[in-house]
Amino acid sequence: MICDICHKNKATIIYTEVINGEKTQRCFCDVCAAKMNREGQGKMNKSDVPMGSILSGILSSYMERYIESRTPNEHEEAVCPTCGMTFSSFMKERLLGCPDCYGTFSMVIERQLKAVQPGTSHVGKIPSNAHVFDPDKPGDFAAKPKKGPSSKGIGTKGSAKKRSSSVELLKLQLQDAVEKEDYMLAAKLRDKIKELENEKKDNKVVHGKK
Amino acid sequence: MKKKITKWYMERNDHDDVIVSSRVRLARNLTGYNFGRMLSDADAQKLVDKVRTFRKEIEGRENKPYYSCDVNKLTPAEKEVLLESHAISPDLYSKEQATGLILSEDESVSIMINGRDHIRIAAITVGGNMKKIATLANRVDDMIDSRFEYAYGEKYGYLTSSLADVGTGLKASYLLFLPAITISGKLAAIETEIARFGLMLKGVYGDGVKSPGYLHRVCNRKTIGLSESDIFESLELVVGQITDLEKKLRREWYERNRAEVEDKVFRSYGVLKYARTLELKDAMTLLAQIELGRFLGIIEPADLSFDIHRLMLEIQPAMLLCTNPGVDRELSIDSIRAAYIRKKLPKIITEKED
Repeated sequence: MICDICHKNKATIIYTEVINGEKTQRCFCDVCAAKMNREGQGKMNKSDVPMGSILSGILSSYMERYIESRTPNEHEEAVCPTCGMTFSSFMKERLLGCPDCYGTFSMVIERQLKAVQPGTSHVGKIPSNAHVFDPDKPGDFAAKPKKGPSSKGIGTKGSAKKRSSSVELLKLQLQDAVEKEDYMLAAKLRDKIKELENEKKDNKVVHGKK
Repeated sequence: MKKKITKWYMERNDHDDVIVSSRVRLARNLTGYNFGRMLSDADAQKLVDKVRTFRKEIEGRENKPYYSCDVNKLTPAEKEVLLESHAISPDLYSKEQATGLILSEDESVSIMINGRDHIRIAAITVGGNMKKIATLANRVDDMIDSRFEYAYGEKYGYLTSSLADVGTGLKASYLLFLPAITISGKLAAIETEIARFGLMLKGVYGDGVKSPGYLHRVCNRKTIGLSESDIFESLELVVGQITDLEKKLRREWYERNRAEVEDKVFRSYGVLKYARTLELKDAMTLLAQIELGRFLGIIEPADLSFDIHRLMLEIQPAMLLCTNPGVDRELSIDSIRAAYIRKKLPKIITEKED
C-alpha cells in the first residue's frame, strides 16, 4: 500500500472512516503523517504517535484543505452570474455588486458579517409586498407583515432554503470547532453536514423523477 | 425674485444645548439593477431618470415643494454647498457616473440616487427630535416602496452594496456639541463605552479629539440583527447619558476654573468680533467657546435668535461664497469669513460680574 499523500513511500498508517455505513480509507506513510501533524499541531515526535493527535492532525489538515477548496479557490473563481462581480474584488473592496451577490458569496458574507455586525439575520422592517401600511402609525417601523416576503433576491424558497442555510451554518460551526481544535465536535458536525447534504441530494432525485 | 426659504438648520424651536441635530438615513436598492460598483453607465442614467420621476409624487403627497437635479451635472461649487449642508454624502459628491438628488425645499429630506446605494433617504432636523424624522424617513421610504421594488432578502433584509448597511439599512445619528467632554479628555472612554451598545463616535469636521467646534456624531454601527426601534432605543439611551454628563462637566469645569473659563469666553468673543482673518478651524473653536459661555450664563447674545451651529454651517468655504455672491473675489476666504462673522455676531447684553 502506498501513501495517499506523497504517492512514494509505503503506507504505515491506515485511517478508516465510517460515516453512515459508508467506509472510506486513507493511507499515509509516517513521514507524511508526521508532517501533517507538525503543520496542524506543532510538536510531534515521529516515533511516538499518539492516536489522538494523529486523528486531529488528519482532521485539521483535512479541514484546511476543505476550507481552502471551499473558500479561496471556489470563491476566487466564483463570479456572480448576475453582475459579474468576482470574489477577489469583493474581498478587496468589500462592496457587493448586486442583490444576487448575497447568494453567490453567502459563505464568506456570513463570516464577514460576524466581524462587522452582531447578528446576521434581519429582524426589522419588511418592504411593501410583505407588509401592511398603517396610516394611523406612519412612523411605525415595526409594521406587521401581512405575508412572508417574496423570495426575490437571494436563495431558493421554503424548506430547501432553510436546509441549505443550516448546512452553511453547520459548516461555519465546523470551521470554528477546527480552529478551537475541538475535533470531537468537528467530527460530529461533519457527519451532520454529510447527512444533510445527502438528504438534499435524495430530495433532488425525487423531484427530478416527478 | 429670490424667495426667503427657511432651511432646516435655521429652525430655532427645537434647539438643544448639546444635541445640535438628528439625522436618519435609510439605504435602499432596487431589484433589476446592479449595485453602484457594478452598475453600467447606461443603467445608472436609467436608474437616476426613473427615481427622479418620484419628485412629483412626493411633492403631491407631502404637499411641500421638492427639487430635483442631476448631481453629476452640477458645478463643483454647487456640489460643495450641498455637501456642507449635509444634503448629499461624500459618495455622491465624488461620483462621476449619473447621480441624482430629490431635495425638499427646507433641505430636511434628501433622496440621493446612485451614491453607494441606489437610493439613500436622509431626514435631518435641529435638536434631538429623532422621532419626528424617523417618522418622516419611514413615510418617504413607504412611498418609494409603493412605486419601486426594493432588493430584499428574507435572511439579510434590505440588501445593500456594503455589508456595513445590510439589514435595516438604517443609520441614525445625533450630532453632539461636546466641549466639556472633549476638554476633560473623556472622549476616548465614551467611545469604548458606547461600542458595547453597538454605537460609534465620529468627529464631524475631523477625527476624534481634533474635530473642530467639538462636534461629534454618535450613530449606530450595527444594522442587522436588531430592529429599527431597538436601534433608536439604544441610541436615545446612550445620548441621554452623554448629554447629562456633558452638562454636568460644563458646570463643574466652570466652578473649578471660573476666571479661566470666563477669560476664554470673552477672549473668543473679542477675537471673533475684531479679527480680520479667521481660519475655519479657529473660527469653529472660538464659536464653540462662546456657545459654552452662553450655556453657562457668562454671556447672553442680544439677539436671541442667534444660533452658533447655524453660523458654523454658514462659514464653511463653499457656503460662505454661496451666501455672499457679491463678495470681492480678491479677498482670501479667511478674510471673507472674518467679515461675515463680524457682521453676524450679535452684541452681548449680559455680562455677569462677580
